[in-house]
Amino acid sequence: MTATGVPASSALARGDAADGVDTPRAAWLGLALGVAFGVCFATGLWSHVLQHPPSWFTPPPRPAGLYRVTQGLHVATGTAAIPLLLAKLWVVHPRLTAWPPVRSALHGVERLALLPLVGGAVFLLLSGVANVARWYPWGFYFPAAHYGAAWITVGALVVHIGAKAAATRAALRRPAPGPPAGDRRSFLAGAAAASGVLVVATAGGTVPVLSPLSVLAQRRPGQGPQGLPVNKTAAAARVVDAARDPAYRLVVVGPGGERAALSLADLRALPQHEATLPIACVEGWSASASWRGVRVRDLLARVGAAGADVVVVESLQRTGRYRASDLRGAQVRDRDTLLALDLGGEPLDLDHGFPVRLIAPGRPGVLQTKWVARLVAR
Amino acid sequence: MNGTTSPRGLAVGLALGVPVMLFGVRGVLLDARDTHPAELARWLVGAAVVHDLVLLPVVGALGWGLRRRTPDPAWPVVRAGAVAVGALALVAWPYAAGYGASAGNPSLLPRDYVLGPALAAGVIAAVTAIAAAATVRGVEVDVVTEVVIDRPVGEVAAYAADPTNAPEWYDNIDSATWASDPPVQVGSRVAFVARFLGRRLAYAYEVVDLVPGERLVMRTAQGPFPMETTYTWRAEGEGRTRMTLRNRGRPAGFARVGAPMMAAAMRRANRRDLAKLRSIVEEAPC
Repeated sequence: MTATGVPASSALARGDAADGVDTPRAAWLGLALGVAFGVCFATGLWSHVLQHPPSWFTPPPRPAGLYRVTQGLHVATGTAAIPLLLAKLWVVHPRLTAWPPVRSALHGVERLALLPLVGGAVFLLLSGVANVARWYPWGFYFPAAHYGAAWITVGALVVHIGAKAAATRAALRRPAPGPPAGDRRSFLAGAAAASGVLVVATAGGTVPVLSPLSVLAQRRPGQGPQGLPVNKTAAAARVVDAARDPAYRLVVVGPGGERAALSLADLRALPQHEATLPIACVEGWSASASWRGVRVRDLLARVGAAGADVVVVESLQRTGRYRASDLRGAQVRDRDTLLALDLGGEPLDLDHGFPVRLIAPGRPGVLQTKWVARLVAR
Repeated sequence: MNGTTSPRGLAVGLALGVPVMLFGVRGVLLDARDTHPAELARWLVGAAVVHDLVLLPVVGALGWGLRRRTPDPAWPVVRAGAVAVGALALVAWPYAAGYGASAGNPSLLPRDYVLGPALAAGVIAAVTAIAAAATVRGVEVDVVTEVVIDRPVGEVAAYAADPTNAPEWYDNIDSATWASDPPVQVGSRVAFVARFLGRRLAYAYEVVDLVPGERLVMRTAQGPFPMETTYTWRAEGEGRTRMTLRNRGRPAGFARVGAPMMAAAMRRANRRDLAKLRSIVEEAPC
């Protein structure tokens, strides 16, 4: 640049093959990574606000299958980004040992911002893969750490894009000197092919046609009680006895303290509705199923809470982060928001939430509360 | 700065990106019970350090070893296969180690995560090896065909060496147009339009060697790959001519993988074309 006596525009145009980095390669991979991390960040934010809605946001129940698409995309693009990130870091690694390590204040700032960018990007992909594999070699809570790291990484990415946008545009527009274009193309094609291999190897849990090839899928479609995979079993949630207790009553509490207690027989005597809705796990797998049960809005009407805007759905679980979930606004009133008694025409399996579970459109699976004990309208 | 950083862009990036990073840091600190800020910081720095000091050297060493054992033309294919197998192995590792297995929930992690990825890696390795072998074998396409024609050398050579006759005896060539002044001589250029393997091709040949009645050599730098075409004529007994047609070229990039198939198609086409040439020349009134 100006510091080296070379006009900025010509330095951008010729790339920077002099330091051993093939700029067009870095630019193409950077572009692909920008898209992948952009998609991951947007879909991750969506998952976050559904689970922790800020006061000004009411999660929309429709389209019912939106979350399975956004979360499937989140995991698939993150997986696809693994070879792209490793290829990118490989292409630019000669600059890691550039001498002198810091040539100016700006260069120092730029290099400093690479630490959260590289560390954050590697951590996000590593922790995402580990979470799907249910491997937790750390003490923090994965979603909170993954979410915080995402903001830090994306901030560092914005800094990096600012610094490199002009060079990327220049490198993509005209061929730079350096290795022959054929080698560049085959390198990029190889990285893209590896991305494709990883996506096919992992996506079978949500795209059933890929399942036979998905050697690393966390789930197999159709495998599980009643043909549906299970995230948390009744034994793991320690609700086996409470769920099987003949004295079980579903308690519905209205905003003024009105209460209704309904036995399983009472619930079955109420009007039943059917809905085909997916269970869509944050870990990327999803499966559609046919549910039958009582509409939440019908139950609320029994305690004079038909117009409730917030309903807390509590499980028989005594502890656990997901023992309760909120329904808000249109989610409360949706005709497919059910306390399900049946799955696929049979009573719910204990591991699917017997005696009743929440099933509602457009929600992450962890918010489809199982073994429901109480509905509290606010 | 290295030569690809724009100071103004960096300033804009800092203005927009630093608040985003600080928002993230603030969130991590506010949610310290769940995020364990000190441990998370160690993981973030550790991820970069382990990548740069462990993964990078290991990949570099493996790649260097593989590169030394791989012939140049096969390297793009071998590299792609190695990257795919390596990426698969990285992701497979926590699955294969069984960290997440849950005895009480058979629907979670239901597969054999050693056998499955091993089979997939084997399939990728096999496909890579086949493609690499094809690449090495197919690195040069060199197809020679010949025909004996019942006409004197001068007559055969005069007809075949005239590029404007090419559409008559080449089945694949639709048109041939002079791009320089006739007659044919060293330096002549001719534009051809042809069909080959279902594709329409337009390319220009240049005559690089011409000994009338003996040989003609022309080259193109266009088309599916750079190609050199040679005609030779030799008297074969009284009033007969042996003509050879040789096409030689080096396909570039991934076109190499298809080279053996291309050579076979070319050989079939050339035999047909020489037979056509013979029938035309032998039937020509003289």
